[in-house]
Amino acid sequence: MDLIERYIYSVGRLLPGKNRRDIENELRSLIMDALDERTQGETPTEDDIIAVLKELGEPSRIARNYLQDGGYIIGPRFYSLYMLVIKIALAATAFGLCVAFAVEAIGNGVVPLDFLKLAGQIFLAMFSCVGVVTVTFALTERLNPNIQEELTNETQSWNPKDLPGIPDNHEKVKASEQTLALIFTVAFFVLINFFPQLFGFFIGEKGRFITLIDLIVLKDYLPFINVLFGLSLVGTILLLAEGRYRGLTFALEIIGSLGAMILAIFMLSGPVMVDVSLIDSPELKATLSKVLGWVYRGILVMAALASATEAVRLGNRWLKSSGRNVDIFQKHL
Amino acid sequence: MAEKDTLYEGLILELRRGTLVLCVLGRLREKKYGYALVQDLKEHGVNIDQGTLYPLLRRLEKQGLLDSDWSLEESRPRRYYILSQEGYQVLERMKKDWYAMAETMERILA
Repeated sequence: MDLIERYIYSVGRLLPGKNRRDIENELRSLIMDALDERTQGETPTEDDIIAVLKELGEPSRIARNYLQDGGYIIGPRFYSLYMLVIKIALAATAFGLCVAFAVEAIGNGVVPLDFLKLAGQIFLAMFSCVGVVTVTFALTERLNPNIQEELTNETQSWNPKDLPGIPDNHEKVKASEQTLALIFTVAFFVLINFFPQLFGFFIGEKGRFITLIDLIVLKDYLPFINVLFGLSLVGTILLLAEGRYRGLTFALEIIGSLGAMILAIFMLSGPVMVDVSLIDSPELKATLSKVLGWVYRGILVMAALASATEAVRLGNRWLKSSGRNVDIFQKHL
Repeated sequence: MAEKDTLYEGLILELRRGTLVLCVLGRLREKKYGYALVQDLKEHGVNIDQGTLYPLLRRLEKQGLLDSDWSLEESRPRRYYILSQEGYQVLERMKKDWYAMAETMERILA
């Protein structure tokens, strides 16, 4: 008899509390029925009990059959989205910690041990990141039980004509390039908005840190920079999610590039954003002011040229991509 | 050879799985408790794994195709299952489909 209770306990342990008692009682009654049938009223031996329990099968298996969900945390409906979110969240976590580390390092310097600490931090943060994403998705899975309904609806409303065209060479997007772009965009945004004083260098024998960006001038440009940043972010995320260029993403990226070009030209005609007021020696001050002024202008000219080139390149790709599609279409006609 | 046997058993199991619900609904026009249903099906030539059947009864009840009740009148308490109103309707529809399917299969395998 002990074996029966042990079996029922082993099954019940794996069941949720709600129906557990009831299922346990039913199992007990079913096992007794099977024993009765087997022994025809005699007292069951241990062998009888073992035979009956074997017929019922392993506790974990029967418990799994009682559990209505599929026995998985995240089902096929959400799996691919889950993986995508995990990847992006992991990259963002690691990157965020690296930026924070870099900022800290520039301010206070680093010792080799700090890198070990950083590795440890990233390792732990990634675990909690996976945890949070998984729990979120597991809840989503549990709160959306109408799998069947959803499947049928999808099949009915799905139209093969809605299938996207295969991206041609001009529309293809390299995920690695876009990821890199995303990382640099975010890093630049964080630095220019929250740590502009980090743009500078150490000077003099004491190694005093001199901030070179004129924060007052920067303030005027910041809203424009951030709008461009937002455009670029939306474009990059769309490209990453869709894996290809289409009209909207081409347009977004081109507008972003042209915007950057215009901003650079505008900044060229404005005041020089270099602040040398903190330097003591008047001679050094004059020289630095001159040199850095040229460097500043040089950077802006290069930025304007690069943005213009990028806009032209993208426009070209856009024209060729739609042009090519038309060609293929006409050939087949 | 053993490998081929396992493969074959798997295929047959898969084939039978689909008929399981129909077997259960078909035999529960009168109320029965779990083990009695196992015996009844066995007498009709259907050997069903108990670890699959008992959970299935619960699932069908939750889906509204079966009603169930504990009966305390006998030597021990037993949970009896019987077709619900909806279960009857589903059974009738499934029977029609089954006969149509059997006919189709007959033609296909002829």
